[in-house]
Amino acid sequence: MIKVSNLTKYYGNFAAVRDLSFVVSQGSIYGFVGPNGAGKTTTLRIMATLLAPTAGEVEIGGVPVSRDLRRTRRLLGYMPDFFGVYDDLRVDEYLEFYGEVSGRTLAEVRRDIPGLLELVGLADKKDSYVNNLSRGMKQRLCLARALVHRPEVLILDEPASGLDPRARVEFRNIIKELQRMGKTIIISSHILAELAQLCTHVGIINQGVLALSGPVSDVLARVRGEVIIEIAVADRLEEARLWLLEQQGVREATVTNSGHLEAVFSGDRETQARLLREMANRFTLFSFSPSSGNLEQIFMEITEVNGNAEPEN
Amino acid sequence: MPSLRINPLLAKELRIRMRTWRTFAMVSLYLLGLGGFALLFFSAMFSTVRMGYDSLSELGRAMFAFLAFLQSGLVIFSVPALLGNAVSGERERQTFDLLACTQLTPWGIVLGKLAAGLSAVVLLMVASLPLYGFVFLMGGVSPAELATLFLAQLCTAFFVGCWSVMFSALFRRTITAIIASYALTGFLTGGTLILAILLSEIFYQSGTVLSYPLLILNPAALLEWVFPEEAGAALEFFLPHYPFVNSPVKFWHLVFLASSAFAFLCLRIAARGVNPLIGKRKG
Repeated sequence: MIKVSNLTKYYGNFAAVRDLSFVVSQGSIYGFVGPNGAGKTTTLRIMATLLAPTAGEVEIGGVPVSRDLRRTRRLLGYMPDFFGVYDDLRVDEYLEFYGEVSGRTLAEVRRDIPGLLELVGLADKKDSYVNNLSRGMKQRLCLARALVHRPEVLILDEPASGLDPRARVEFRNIIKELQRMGKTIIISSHILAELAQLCTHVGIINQGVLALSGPVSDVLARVRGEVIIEIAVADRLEEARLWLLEQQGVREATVTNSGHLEAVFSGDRETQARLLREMANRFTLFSFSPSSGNLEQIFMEITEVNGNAEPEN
Repeated sequence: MPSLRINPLLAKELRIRMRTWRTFAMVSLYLLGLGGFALLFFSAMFSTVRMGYDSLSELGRAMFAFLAFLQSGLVIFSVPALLGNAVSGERERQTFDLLACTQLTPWGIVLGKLAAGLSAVVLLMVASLPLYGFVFLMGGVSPAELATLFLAQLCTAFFVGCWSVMFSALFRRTITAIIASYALTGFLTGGTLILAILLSEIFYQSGTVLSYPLLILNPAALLEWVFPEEAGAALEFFLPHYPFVNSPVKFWHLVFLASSAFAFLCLRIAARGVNPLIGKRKG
């Protein structure tokens, strides 16, 4: 769906992004991770047709972005990290405006607005003025704006920054719902635990260079050679831990503060799947998932190795 | 039947503009100022009618000319303030990126913003119609002259608006854009006139050759369209050897053509300025 090839962007002599290449497949959620100034926003702005690259190309649906801006903008919904709103418009007028300037007719937009507002949880705010909305509501309105022309790809730059925990959870649920609707989503965030839970794929960028990219589990395994799996067991916790330690590929098994088991596992995905299947036959399991702490650890390792990046433009 | 579709950017601007108290205050102040000066002028001049020096229609014509010059001055003065924030305001509000990645073309953004600013000028002009109605009571002025005046003022507003939008697109900060717009407007309106008069005083015989080209972009020169005799006489008085006395081509024709070309250039620069894929902002 999205192919970024050898993308490079220079500001004067400073290389904000260098030779970046990655692919985002249709229907996936791609987490774009990196410290401040790593080149995330620059990359996303190039993808959103707001910045011209110095070299390289971004393709969406097989067509280079630079070749057909109108088509690209029809396919893309973009939510920047910092954005303003027109305070003197009502919520429905705000969406009508962006719908119209995105090439849809007023009648089409008006038909879609109730559904959009329902999706982002602002159905009861349709007639409110934008300046009466809270920060979290404005974030959700901006997301609705990005969706108003029914884009296939969403580019979200730090969409949850500045939101309280409740609003963040709500925002995450909306993004999951959008994925279920078939949207391809690229999301940058500093909240790595959240990204680990949300994303199917992840790319770690540092100092303008893509250090790692791929499915979350592959990235974790590639760096560490092992993954940490968090398992929620209904009962017999200690027995389960001891059983895990006896299994092939399990180096360590501990009980976390939240009462879950955390197993450090090395091995291919088939072995991992067999282990979990066997465990499910023996114990009552609620869930198992790659631990969200993994991504943070990897992120710290990669960014420590390379040092701190320059401030982002 | 195809429906009439208004530029969404213009519709949005109008909606926002008409909702704020500032528009109401602007129209009120404008009418108070214009009406106040018109009343003073009327009071001062009415004595000449009472004493029988002038007829009522002559007073009507004098008052029309007074209102026309005053309103033209106000239009020239208000356009940089109305359009100086057209694009830079979007940047400062952090709404520009959201606009730039829509289907709106750079020309669409520039023309939508220009039309929105000019619509405010039209509002001021329409609001001043009752004052001109008072002039009609006295006579001496035809409706065609009023229509020509409004057309000339609209053209003047358009020309000033074009470079105001250009500066707004070129500069990141609104205050810088407005100052640049006022500086250029002031230079082209008053500065070139002073320079032209100085040149014709210094080089009496050859001064005209230098003076008239200096005024070629002067937005106030379009008033010759409305008052061909009065403006021609004024030009002749300040700048002797007016070269268009018996010519079917008048000076304002050349001003109109030159200003149109300059306005197109300004809009082109503005369109480049709002294209996110070209260049960087200043200021």
